[in-house]
Amino acid sequence: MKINKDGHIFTISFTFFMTVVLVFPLTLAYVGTKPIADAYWLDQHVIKTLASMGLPADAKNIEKAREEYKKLDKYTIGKLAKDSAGKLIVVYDTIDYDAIAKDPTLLHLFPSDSDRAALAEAKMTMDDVVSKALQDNSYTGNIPAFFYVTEADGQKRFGGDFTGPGLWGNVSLAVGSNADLSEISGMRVLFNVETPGLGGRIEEPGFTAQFDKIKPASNVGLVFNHPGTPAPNGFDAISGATITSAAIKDTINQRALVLLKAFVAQKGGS
Amino acid sequence: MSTPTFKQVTSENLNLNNPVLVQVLGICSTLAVTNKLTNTLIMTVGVSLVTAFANYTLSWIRHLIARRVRMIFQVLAITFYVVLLQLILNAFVPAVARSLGPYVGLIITNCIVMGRTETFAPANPPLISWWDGFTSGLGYMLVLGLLALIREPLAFGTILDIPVFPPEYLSSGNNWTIAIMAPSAFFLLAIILWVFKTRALKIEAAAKAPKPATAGGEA
Repeated sequence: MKINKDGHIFTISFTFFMTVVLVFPLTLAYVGTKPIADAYWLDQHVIKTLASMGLPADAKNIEKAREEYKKLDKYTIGKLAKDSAGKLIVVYDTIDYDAIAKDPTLLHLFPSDSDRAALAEAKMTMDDVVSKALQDNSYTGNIPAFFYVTEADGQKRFGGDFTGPGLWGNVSLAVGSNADLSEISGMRVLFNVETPGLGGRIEEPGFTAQFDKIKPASNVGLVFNHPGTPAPNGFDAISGATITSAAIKDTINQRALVLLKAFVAQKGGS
Repeated sequence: MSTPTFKQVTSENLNLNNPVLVQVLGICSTLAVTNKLTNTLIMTVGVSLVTAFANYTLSWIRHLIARRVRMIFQVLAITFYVVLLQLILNAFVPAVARSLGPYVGLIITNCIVMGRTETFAPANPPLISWWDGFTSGLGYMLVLGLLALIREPLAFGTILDIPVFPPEYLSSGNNWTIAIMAPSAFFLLAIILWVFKTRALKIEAAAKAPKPATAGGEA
């Protein structure tokens, strides 16, 4: 039988065939490269979290940084559940920032003592929980709120990962603070898909260095600097990236500082 | 139409039918990725390989594609190679993948890739199609590399991240912020186009003019 290559049947089946032929190797390539890509993503998270908390973090000595990171006490907002395979997972709660801003006691931290026991029984640590959440969101940047607390030089240090809306997608920030939240120890951008060369420059050291030792005001948090009159709680926006700069300001003021304040209230007391 | 030779294809794509300078294709990425030479090189190598292999694949199955659905196959083949490239970049050069941002994904709609797979691949055998795609990418690389070579020092005081200007250039805020942003590529590209076009017109005129006498001509 002669095949009519312009006919519907041939065209549709050939299209279908080619799609399968091409998509299959892509799936293999994705599965094959995901662990390598994730390893970099997790290490970046380690370095940036430590750096934001003012702790030593050297990308060249990643082993040491991982050790340091392991020592941090980690918390999040969520509860334990079982997935379809019966494996223990954490379901993250939607966070009502306004309510927590009004009443910091509404922040219910995970893991509670019973959660801890359940995690230990399943031979899981909070590091596994964080690492899974990061791997699940490596392409969306929708990182759940994580909190870190540790002690260095006899002082408590706090930190956390906070995600807010940017111009094109999620902007996720690592923000650290001193014991009484009077000073931000640092800020690093964990994830962003802002315009390269404009909003994307929030990743650059020149921008993030502005947040080292910045002192948020108790009422307004951080503000933009006015030309010529830098404020102790002010930072310079990026010209040409108004929305991204405002997204950083809002994520820090309305999310990071709100949650950190509630977190420090519960885990503070140096 | 007879199949062009490898030599013809090379000189066409690199020179007199350069995809950026003559066909004025791929301008979006020309503006976007030329502020750092490293990014430019990786992006253009990516475009070259994607164009080459998409051309090869489409040429290979060209007799099986009904003309009215050819676009579906073009996008399918191009997307396949672009996603593959993206996965490889993400895994092995993550820092570059981050700084290229969305532009790797946008190779899918890069006009050069679309143009070559639409015009060259359906009419020519696989191997020459591969070569045509690859040299088109090289032609693109030539122009983008030149732009980046001008933009990167002006914008960041570096070439391939190696400082070429004294540190005062950056610290005193003397660097050209415009060179970082897309409009500078518009100006530079216009100048390059102008120079190139003038030269191309001269070559064309010389080719058309009757051969001058060999001896005793004017100096």
